[in-house]
Amino acid sequence: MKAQDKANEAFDLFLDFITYFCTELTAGVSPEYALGRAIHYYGDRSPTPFNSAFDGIVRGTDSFVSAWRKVVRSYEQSSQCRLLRLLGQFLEKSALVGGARMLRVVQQIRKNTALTKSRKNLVDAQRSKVLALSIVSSAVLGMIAAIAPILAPAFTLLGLVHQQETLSAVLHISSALYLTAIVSTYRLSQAAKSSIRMLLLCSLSFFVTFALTANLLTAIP
Amino acid sequence: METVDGLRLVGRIGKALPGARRLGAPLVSLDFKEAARYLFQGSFSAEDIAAGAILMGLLALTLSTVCLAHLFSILSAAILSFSLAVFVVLFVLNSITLRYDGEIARIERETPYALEELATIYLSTGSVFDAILYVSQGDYGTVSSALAQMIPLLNAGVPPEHLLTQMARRQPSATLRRGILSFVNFVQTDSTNLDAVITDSHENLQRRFEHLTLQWESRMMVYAGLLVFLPLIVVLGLAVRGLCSSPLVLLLPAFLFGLSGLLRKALLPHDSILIGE
Repeated sequence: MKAQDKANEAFDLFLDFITYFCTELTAGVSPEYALGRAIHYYGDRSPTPFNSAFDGIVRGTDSFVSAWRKVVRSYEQSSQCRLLRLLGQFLEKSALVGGARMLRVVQQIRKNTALTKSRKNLVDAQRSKVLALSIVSSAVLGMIAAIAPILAPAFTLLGLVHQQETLSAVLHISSALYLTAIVSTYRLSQAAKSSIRMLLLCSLSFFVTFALTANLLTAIP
Repeated sequence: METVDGLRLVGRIGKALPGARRLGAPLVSLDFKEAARYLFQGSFSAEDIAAGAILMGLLALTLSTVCLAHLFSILSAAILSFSLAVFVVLFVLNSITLRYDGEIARIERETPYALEELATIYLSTGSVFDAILYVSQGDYGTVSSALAQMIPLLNAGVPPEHLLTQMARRQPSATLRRGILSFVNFVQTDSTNLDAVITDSHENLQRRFEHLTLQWESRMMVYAGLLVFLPLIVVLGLAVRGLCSSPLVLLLPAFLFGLSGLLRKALLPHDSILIGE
């Protein structure tokens, strides 16, 4: 959760930085100058790839285009990459038009992040529901696993089935039910994007109810 | 597209049998026809797929009747396997629509950015050719490849407006269609609502995402309910038949695993791909 918050904060800062940069661009200055202004304004907080790119430009080792390409490469595999590549394309053609248009794109992306945040909240809320549900269902399955050896003879008494009870039969049904509880918990945790710890909790609940029920049944004279 | 493709196989089966087309025809709606035309590019028609789905259903019907007749009376086995067959047919038909929706979602996710780039490059260079070239080299999935297909024709001298209009007609996503057409309009008359259309394509994406998020909650509950109650019902049924002690019960978790995979595909499809993430 902490890492997630940090990533969100970094993304917000990134968007702010790009916004400042594009606002400078719309004043009609060169991209190099606008980048310098943005880095000056944000100081230590400005994202490191931009800092090193600007250093390269100032030292004269990189042109703006190649420096920008390095920035894009350093953001590879993240959602910022597409935005940066688009901005790079814009800047190659016209900083003035591109900056103004990028400001609109950034505004839309801010809306998108707000939406993803609200979805994340929803998923978080569902997560606890799902956890409760799978603990209860594991407990019920554990109970059935303990009762199953008695269930079958009960139906035998009704004349439906004829069979006798062995240790291997008990093992079959209880392991099958345990695996079933694990499978459904795993699928639910997958859908709600919750941690794998849920499996442990559900195993615990399965075995506790199993033991308790078995204990109760043996206590019956 | 995937290499191992069950739906393609179903379509091929439907096409192989001569009289089957007529069988599938009543199941085909207009939307479904469009989806099949886009996904299979004319290698088989929607009727073929529907016929294949019905054949799969019949196969499921016979197989499951034979299997279930050992467990239940012949009447209940027939009822069960009939509902299984209906489920199979609906599943095949539904998965085509799902895949088509996924394809549209994937296109619409790229659309706003592609349109922004198209507009910006055109505004700053004044060249439609440059705009098409830039977007076709960008990484916008289907949009880029559709534009890349135009380049040889452009080089041969076909007017870009004509090609763009043609391309827009083939696109499944209404947003992209509208965007491309208003871009063409912008190029031709220089006064249009291009900016409004681009903003709308962003907002369309956001609305869709919100809509899916609202649905997600109830879908999740249905999924959870099924995962919790199905095993209970099956186990109780098995207990009544006295099958609990046979090693066959060990198949239950495997069965549940497969079934929940299918359910998840049907109930909780690709939604968060819409906005980054």
